[in-house]
Parts: sequence; C-alpha cells; structure tokens
Amino acid sequence: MGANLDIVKGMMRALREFESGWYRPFRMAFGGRDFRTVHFMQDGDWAACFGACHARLDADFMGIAASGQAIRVPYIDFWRIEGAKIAENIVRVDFASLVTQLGGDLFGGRLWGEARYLYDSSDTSLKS
Amino acid sequence: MKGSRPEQASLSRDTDLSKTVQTRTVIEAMVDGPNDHRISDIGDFFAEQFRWMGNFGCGTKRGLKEFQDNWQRPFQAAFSDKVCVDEARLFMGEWAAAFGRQEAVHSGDFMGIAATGKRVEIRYMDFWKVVEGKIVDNWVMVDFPHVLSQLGRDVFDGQGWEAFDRGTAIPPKPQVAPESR
Repeated sequence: MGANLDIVKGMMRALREFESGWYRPFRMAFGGRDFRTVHFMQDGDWAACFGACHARLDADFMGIAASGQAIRVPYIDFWRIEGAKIAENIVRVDFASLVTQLGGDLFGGRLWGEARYLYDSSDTSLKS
Repeated sequence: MKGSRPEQASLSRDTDLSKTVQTRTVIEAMVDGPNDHRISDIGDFFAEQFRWMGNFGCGTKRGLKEFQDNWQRPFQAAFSDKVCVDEARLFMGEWAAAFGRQEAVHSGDFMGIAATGKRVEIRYMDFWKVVEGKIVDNWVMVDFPHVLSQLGRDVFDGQGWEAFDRGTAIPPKPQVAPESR
C-alpha cells in the first residue's frame, strides 16, 4: 500500500509540474492556438506525431516583448501508453525557431542550412 | 479559436498499412548505416532527391549530395566515435519513426566551439516515409541547443523553461481562465 501511495503521489506531482511548468506557461504565451498535426502514427504501445502550432505571441517569451504577432511553434511528440493512460511523453518544441521568428538568433548565425519546413507539410521558409 | 478543428494527419492518414513490413525492412537495414559511418553507399536506402527536413539550426537538405555535404560530413567533422541508440522505433504503413541518442566525442569545431574532447549526448528524432523501397522524406530533429549546453553554452541564456522544473524561475499563471487546450 505504501509503495502504491508513493506512485500515486509521484503521478500527482508529475501532473502538477506539467500543469504549472509547461501547460500553463504555454497557454499564456501563445494565444489563438491552432494545432496543425500533419503526421500521426501508432505502433503497439507507442504513438508519435509532428506538426506546428499556429498562434500569436500574447506574453513575453524569453525576454522578447509580446507583440501579438503571428508565430508558428513546431513540435514532435512521442507517447508511450500504459493501460488507457499516457505514461511517457517525449517532446521537442522548436524554441530556437520561435526566437528567430521574433527577431532573435540563438546560434550566432552559425546555421547548418535554412529551416524550410519546420514540421509543416508545405515549404514554410522562415524569413529572418 | 475555441473548438477549432483544423485538418489533422494529412501526411499519414491514408498510408497503405500493407506496406508496414516493407518499410520496416528498409529502415532496419538503413539504421546500421550511420553506426558503420557509411557515407558513399547510403543511396541504397535514400531516394536520389529525398528531402531531409530538420529543425531550426540543422537546415533542409535536398537529395543525397546535399545530405552528404551539408549534414553527414560537417557532423563527422565535429563528432567522432559515434554510437547511435534508437530508444523507440515505430512503423505504420509507409512511415517509420524513431527517437534516441547518439553518443560521440566532440572532436572538431561545432557552431564556433573548438574541439573539447568531451563525450556528448546528441538527442534526435526521425520520421521517414518509404516509397518503393527508398526513403523519400526524412523529418528530423537534432537537439543542437542541448549539445551546446553540454559544451558550456546555454543558447537560451537561463530562460529555458527547465528553470520552472529546477525552481529557479516561477512559471507565470494566467489572471483569467485561459482558453482550452
């Protein structure tokens, strides 16, 4: 029973951290969210997708003042399912792309090429 | 936007599920390639004009030559003794996906950081579409910011959202009930 309680407490903590440390800041920063998941697949206990969240910047992001400008936030998700619940969610959100869309440059111009697709199904070249 | 239901999964929803075994065969043969450090014969797996579509920083490569010249060779110039470990691999119809890590030694200049000799972890995600036995599209994420952080450069300058997990920054809370999703 003690061990089970620890698992439940751990899950509650994980859910709270996800809510406060990701989900809420994401929703505050990016308004009018339109998640365009262009690819989805499932195999056994795993599922995966990629796409881009089309939104507007509603709150300051990494020191860049909110301008209400249209942005595109590329994402990849892998999920592992246990029973009917998501047990693991391995995620990449392309914040470096976002900073560039907002006029910043995280790599000091040392890019290995132009990012043209960014998990969108058509060529969506970033004009930076 | 509330209740917005944009078209979903346009790339994969009509994939031919009878192709899963063929896709698996091509991908499993190909993934031995990077571990063998092969460059010259990857045309066995990739279509001549395949598209390699990376996250920001990694670029977009069209065709084998651009992939070899603008991805594989710079990568091998920066990193050596590479071991590639897929942590999960999925197959569905013409599509395959994997994520995992490469472990390698930083032995050449990487984004302006001279060789440190450090062993680094290079996290990646791949999605491949296989048509007639060859990869035609490869959607890729390679986590350059994470590599740079292991080499002592934090491109997010302390403002990465990991700070919320560490407790070194307070995550913002909305003043009013936010939209759903």
